[in-house]
Amino acid sequence: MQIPRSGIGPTAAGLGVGAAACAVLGIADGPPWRIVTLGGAGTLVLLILAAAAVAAGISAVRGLIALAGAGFLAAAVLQLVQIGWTGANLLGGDGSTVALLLGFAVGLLALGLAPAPTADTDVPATGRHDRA
Amino acid sequence: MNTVPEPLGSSRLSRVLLAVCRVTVGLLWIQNLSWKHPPHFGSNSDPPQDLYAWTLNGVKHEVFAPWVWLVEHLIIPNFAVFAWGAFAIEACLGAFLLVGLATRFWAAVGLVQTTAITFSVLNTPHEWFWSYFLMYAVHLALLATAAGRAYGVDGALRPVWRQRGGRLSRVLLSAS
Repeated sequence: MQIPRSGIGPTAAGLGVGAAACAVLGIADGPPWRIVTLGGAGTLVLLILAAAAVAAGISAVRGLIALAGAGFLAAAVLQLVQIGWTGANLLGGDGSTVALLLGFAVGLLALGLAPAPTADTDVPATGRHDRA
Repeated sequence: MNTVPEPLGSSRLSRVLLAVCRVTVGLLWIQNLSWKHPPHFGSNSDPPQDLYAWTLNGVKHEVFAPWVWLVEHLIIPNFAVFAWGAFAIEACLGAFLLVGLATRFWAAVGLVQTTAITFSVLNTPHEWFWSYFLMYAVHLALLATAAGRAYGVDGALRPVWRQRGGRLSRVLLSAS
C-alpha cells in the first residue's frame, strides 16, 4: 500500500542512505576510528540492505519498507546467533554489528508497520512545530 | 516584562546539530559493544578480561558501597544473566538512539546505564572521570530536547501516533 504524502517514505530513504554511509565506519583498523566491525560480507550485506531501504523509501510502499527492515533484522539475528552460540562469523562482525543492524531494523519496521496516515496527517517529518 | 521563556532554537542548523549529537551518542554505545564478547564476556579467562574485568573493578576500586555489595552478591554469582542484560540494553541504546525512535525513553535508559557504569569504574585508575559526567550531560540533553524529532523516526511517526490515538500511541508519544 502506497503512503499518502508524509514523512515516512523520505525518512525510510534517509535511513537507507545512513546505513550505506555506515559502511565507512568499519574501514579503519581499530579504535578510535573503527566504530563498527564489518567484514567484507558484512559490508556487502549492509550495502544491499541499504539500497533496498532507499528504493523502498522512494517508492513509499509500506510493505517494502517493512521488508527492508525485516532484512536488517534477519542480518542482526544472524550476527547475534553466530557470535553468541555457534562460533561462526559469516558477516565478520561483533556486538557493534548487531546493534547497528538492529537500529536500521527497528527504524524501518516502525515506519513500515505504522498505521497508514490519512491525508490530514500531512505533517513534515521535522518535528519543528511539535509541542506535545 | 515578558516572563515567557525563549523557545529553543528550531532552525534547520539547530535540528541538524541535534541529530548529529543523537547519532554520535548512538555510535558511542554501538562501538562499545565491540569489546564485549559473548557468550562468556571474559569470565572464562585468567586474568579476567572484557566486561567481567570491568565489573570486578567496581569491587576493587569502590565508588559506592551498596553497589559493591550488589556486584559481589548478585551480579558476579549471576554474571551470565547480567552480562547478556547489559549487552542487550546497550545494543538497544545504540540502535534506538541511532535512528531516533522512542528517543526520550532511551535517553532515560542511557542515564540509568551511565549510573551503573559510573558506579563500576569511576575510581578505576587511568579513567577520565569527566567521561561519565559528559555521558550524563549528553543523555540529559537528548531527553530534554526530544532529539528524535529532529531527523529521526520519531519526527516522522509522531503525527501518525497523534492522529491514531489509543494507549500504544500515547505511550509512544510520551517516549518520543
